[in-house]
Amino acid sequence: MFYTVLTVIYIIMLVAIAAVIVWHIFETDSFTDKLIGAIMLVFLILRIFLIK
Amino acid sequence: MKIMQLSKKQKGILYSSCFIILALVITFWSGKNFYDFAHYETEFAIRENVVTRVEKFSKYSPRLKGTVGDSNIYVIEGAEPGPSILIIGGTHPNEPAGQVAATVLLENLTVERGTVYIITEANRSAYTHSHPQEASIQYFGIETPYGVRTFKFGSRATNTNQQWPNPDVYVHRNSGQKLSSADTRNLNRAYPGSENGTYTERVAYAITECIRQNNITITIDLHEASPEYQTINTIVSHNRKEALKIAAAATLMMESNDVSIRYEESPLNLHGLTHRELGDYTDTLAFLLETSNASQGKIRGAFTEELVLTGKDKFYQKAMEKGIGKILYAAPVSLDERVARHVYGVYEIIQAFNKYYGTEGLGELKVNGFPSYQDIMTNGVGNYLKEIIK
Repeated sequence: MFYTVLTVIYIIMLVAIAAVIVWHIFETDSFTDKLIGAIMLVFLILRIFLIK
Repeated sequence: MKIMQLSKKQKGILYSSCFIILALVITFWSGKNFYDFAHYETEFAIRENVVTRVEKFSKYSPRLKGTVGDSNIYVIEGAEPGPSILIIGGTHPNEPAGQVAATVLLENLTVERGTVYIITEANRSAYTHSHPQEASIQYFGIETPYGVRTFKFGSRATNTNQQWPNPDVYVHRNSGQKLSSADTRNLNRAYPGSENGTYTERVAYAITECIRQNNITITIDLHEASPEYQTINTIVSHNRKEALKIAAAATLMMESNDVSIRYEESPLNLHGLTHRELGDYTDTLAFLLETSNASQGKIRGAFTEELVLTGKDKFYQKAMEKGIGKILYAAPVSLDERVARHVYGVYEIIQAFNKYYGTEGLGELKVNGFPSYQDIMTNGVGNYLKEIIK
């Protein structure tokens, strides 16, 4: 039960971070920021689905 | 519409959308790769007329039922009752000779007297992922007369999908010994385990209970280590005098047959390992065998399938030529030789047990079908893997 609750909180945090990154990719004018944001999204999505 | 005609804001949205689509494509591609690897099932040839029964870890550690860590225990019973032996492969899935040797024994041994228990994937969770930052291969193939047999090359540790969060310091439950965080998910630091502990401790508990409930006489855990590690080419034995006597005799026999090996006593203050805790918490005579695996080395170059199979690495070769560092056994050690060492080590431990204790108590353990060290070296380990019949 403790593990499940912890995992749910963890995934909610990851989803929130991913949403902020997507927002930042659209908001920023920096090409580098967009690229770094896209790379971070790959890791975050893999983690959200607990694949890697 | 030409891109040049778009406003700055429209260009920003276009570029951002492209980046996100690219990220999603890469995520899908890499995610499918990781998912397929995690769900790939290594196949083993189970001889129905030889293997008496297949037990599950959950029989001994009920909370593992329905989880990825609910491994098989293959049991081969002889016609006559007698002593028993447990052979553990796959504790660390980045040490392939342990699993392949256990597979060779599973697919070749026959038992006249006593019982043989074989585990080929002791930590199945660790077979569902690769170790981060190692750029390791996911699979390796062994040529057999029936085609290529595929084995997985996994991580040393339990997958974080099964066990997290990890503390900064791992405290061994029974001794209070403090180790690095990485050992929290290391099966060979979790013994004797706990029924309601962490995932890794539950797996360790299943093996400990299997030994205790079946009163297994001998336990041999098959491992590998990097070429610069002090304990390679070694039989590590629990400090019970019977175990030390057997380890010494097996070492002498192997040395007399030109297989360079030594033995050492399990350190009293290093806890959580099979050769320490299984000997302390059960009546089994506990041993651990190590071989030299260049793919685990700290100075190796590219991580390739060839490196796992042949042990050849140009950096180790160079280090050996120049005498740099404390390289103990940097000469290429092929998977054939590493498996041959393990199989021969198991054979000599049984012979030594029979020599010293075969006339008392439960009598002799009579096991046949061991491929010899020379046969494996000459013909290759693939010749001793049986065909998978579906």
